Amino acid sequence: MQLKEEFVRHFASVAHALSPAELDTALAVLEARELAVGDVLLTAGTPSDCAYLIVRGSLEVAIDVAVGHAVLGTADAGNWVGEVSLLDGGPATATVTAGMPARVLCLSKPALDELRKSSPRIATVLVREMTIAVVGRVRRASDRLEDLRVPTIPPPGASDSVPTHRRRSLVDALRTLMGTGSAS
Amino acid sequence: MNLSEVLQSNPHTAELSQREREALASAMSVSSRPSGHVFIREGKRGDTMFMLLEGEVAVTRERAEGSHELKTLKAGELFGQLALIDDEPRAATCIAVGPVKVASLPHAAFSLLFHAHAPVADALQRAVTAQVMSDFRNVTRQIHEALGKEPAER
Repeated sequence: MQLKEEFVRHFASVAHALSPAELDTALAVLEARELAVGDVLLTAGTPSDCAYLIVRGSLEVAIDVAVGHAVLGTADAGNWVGEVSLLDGGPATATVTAGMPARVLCLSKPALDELRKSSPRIATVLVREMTIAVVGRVRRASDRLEDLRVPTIPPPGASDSVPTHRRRSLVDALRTLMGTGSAS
Repeated sequence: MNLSEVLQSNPHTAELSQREREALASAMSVSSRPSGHVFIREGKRGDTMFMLLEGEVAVTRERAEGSHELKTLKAGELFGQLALIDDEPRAATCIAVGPVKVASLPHAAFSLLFHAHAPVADALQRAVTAQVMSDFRNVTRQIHEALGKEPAER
């Protein structure tokens, strides 16, 4: 019961798009996982066949870039992680670690494929929600990237050098893309 | 190509049954447009997805320094597919290069399919999702490449 409440609170748009019976079917295929501090959920560069819905706590999202390791911030309850890998089968783009005890619901590839056959409406709703989440981030990140095509000038009074300012803007664009608004 | 040929060759709709493809085809309307016809205008809201049947469509973005072409679409390709999942302003302009023939699917027709023919809606949505994930990978790569060109922190 508690799980259902948490799910409905954090993923209201999914819950509202489903009938009560469909919601129960969806919850039955989502596997709850409790994470302890330090547990690694996703590793950048490694494929994952699960998307995770965060229902309690928050997760740290970090990425390795040419200039070093960057902690992008946290993904909080109500967000998905690993959805891109689940949907396109490619490697995870970031490393996701529990920075505090957290609870996630895992939607695995086999479970999603099974839903597509047995309850295509539920599969469509889940995939649509994941896609909408990603599309919003892609739009905002590409807008930021577009702005950076023009050589950037640090705001007046900024102590940053031009390259540092530009690198910061690029990491901010990555944050936008990964959905970790809260900067470290 | 006619609509049923395109639906048979598109990887996302090919896996549907004959009956499901017919349901999709009957929800779409086919029209011919002259060169220069603007199907989608960047910044405007749109509620229709298009499948290009014949001819070419240019995808462009307007910027202060002028418009630049992102890509040219060929027969069989979808455009405007995000209209099926959200109603945000369109990210690019899609314009006919030479005379074209398209099949269009308004969002309302997609919603009806979602209720009456769930596998059809799922197949279309997979096409939308594949495009979005590919865009995500592209933007990720562009940012990484740009970061790689920046000098390391001192």
